[in-house]
Amino acid sequence: MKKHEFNRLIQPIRRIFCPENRNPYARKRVAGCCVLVGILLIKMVGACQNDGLIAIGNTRSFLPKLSQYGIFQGNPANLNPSADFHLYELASTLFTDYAGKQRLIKLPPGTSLAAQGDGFPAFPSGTMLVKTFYYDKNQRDPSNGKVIIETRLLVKTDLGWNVATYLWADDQQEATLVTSGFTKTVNWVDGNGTAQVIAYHVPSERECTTCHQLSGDVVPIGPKLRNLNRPVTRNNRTLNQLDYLQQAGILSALSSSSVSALPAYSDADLPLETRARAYAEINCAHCHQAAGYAASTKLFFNYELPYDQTTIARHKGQIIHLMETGKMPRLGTTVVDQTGLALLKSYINSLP
Amino acid sequence: MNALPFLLAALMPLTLAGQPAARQRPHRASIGIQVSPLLGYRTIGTSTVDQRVVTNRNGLEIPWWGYTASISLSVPVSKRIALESGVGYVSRGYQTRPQALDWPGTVSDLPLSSTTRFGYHFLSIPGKATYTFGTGKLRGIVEAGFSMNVFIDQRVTIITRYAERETESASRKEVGVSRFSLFALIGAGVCYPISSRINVTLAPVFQYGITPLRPGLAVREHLYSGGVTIGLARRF
Repeated sequence: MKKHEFNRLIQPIRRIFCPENRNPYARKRVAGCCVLVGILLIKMVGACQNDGLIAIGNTRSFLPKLSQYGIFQGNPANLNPSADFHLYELASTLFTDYAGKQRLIKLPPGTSLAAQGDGFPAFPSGTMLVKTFYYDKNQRDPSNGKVIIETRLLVKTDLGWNVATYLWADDQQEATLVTSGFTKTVNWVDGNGTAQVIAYHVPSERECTTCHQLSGDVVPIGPKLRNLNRPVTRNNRTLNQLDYLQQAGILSALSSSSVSALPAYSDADLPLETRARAYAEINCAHCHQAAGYAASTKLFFNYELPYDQTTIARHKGQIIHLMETGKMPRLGTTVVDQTGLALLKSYINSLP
Repeated sequence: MNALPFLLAALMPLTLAGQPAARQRPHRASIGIQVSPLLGYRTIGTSTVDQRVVTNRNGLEIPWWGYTASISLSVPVSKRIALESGVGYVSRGYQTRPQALDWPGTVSDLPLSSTTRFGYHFLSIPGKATYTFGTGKLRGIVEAGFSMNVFIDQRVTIITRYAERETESASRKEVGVSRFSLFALIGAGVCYPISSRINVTLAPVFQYGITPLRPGLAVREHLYSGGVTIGLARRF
């Protein structure tokens, strides 16, 4: 490039920065323009912080390795809980891309859960809820082993609940704290003998707190007393889980018959409406309730809410469409729960 | 990757506002369409707490093709400089390397490997300045500016490869990504008139996300893409 061509190229820039070339009117215009663009940029960058999630910061820090909490004893890959950690099961469970889940609870010594109706019990400060997500390599033959993906912790302090996610290493011996989320390829053989491959998403902290919140406070989703009120087998004996938890000293004294029971939506013997509402309670209602993330939709799925107040009737087509296209749930899944979708479709089609 | 050079480059068009007030407008405004194949990727910052995520992702992920299609209005502000804006659709992202799949040995017809593609779709509203130089029919152009991207959705596609076939499944999500993101763009190329009113442009363009893809995370991820824009513009 010749010198005069270069000079012509940079002439506009020289007009700004070289006083002898600067037009006073242009200078004012440049200043005004820069201020306006600056304000616009700041506003735009501010808007860029909106990702549609609800971030609630932790009030305590978490250790970098899962093993530091002593949750499992022996070979970690066996998920054999230590003595302080007690297994619990739910009647109806949240769908998470067909992952299997192990749920554990640990309470501080000398404390127990206090019943508050059939909703969440009062959790003492120091309560730790542990949920580990895994896939049996072959669901038709669990002896082929499992792949453990992640363990999520909910830890209560005096200031509220805190969330953490630990990503398991490929050797299944340790899990590491992750806060920013991660997508991992997972494959297994399902119950029909079909190969499944998915991009399993380990959630970020922001994603965790979006679903695990009511009115801006982090809360658990599953362990409401009515969802714990189900039979379990412990020490080769089948008994009501609420009774078992009392015997184990985890739950304060109450009569299990005084607590309502959330049905298992997987139980095909139950009425269609009961199953569908139970599915919606555990898979949708944590957001779709008056204090939840999706409160503005006015579509509520709480099991205890009378049908007339749910507005399901007004959203029938939308519910099916959003589930079919995978847009709902907005978080926590990457594949459509075909069984759940079929259940809700049958229910909605049965409505007047 | 440091965003500062791109930010500075993109701010350069502001200097054009300092042109003398008495402008001649030898050219009229033009309306155009542009398409561009893009090769997209991302930068991810280091993070003490999520170092394992960063290491895993850097070991796994590679660039992937996307594209952009847009319509634009270009208004000349001097003989050589024009301001341009419009609206477009952008698909950009990245993918994983093919990952070998491990299966229990008792089942037949199993996939051998899989690839995961992360596609992000945006509505883009660019604002850029174009400087034309040279004489004759074939002229050079340099362009720089910003593009405001409005997030539409994120699509994660799994490509599963069997011995003799391939299957795809995808999921869409509409949250977890910044609803608005700001990209700096710079490009340079050539412009050629194919008639008295119609110009064709060919310009390699590079775009870099100044704002993170997902806000508030320890691992800051910025998308970027490069491609060759092919444009057709008609003067009024």
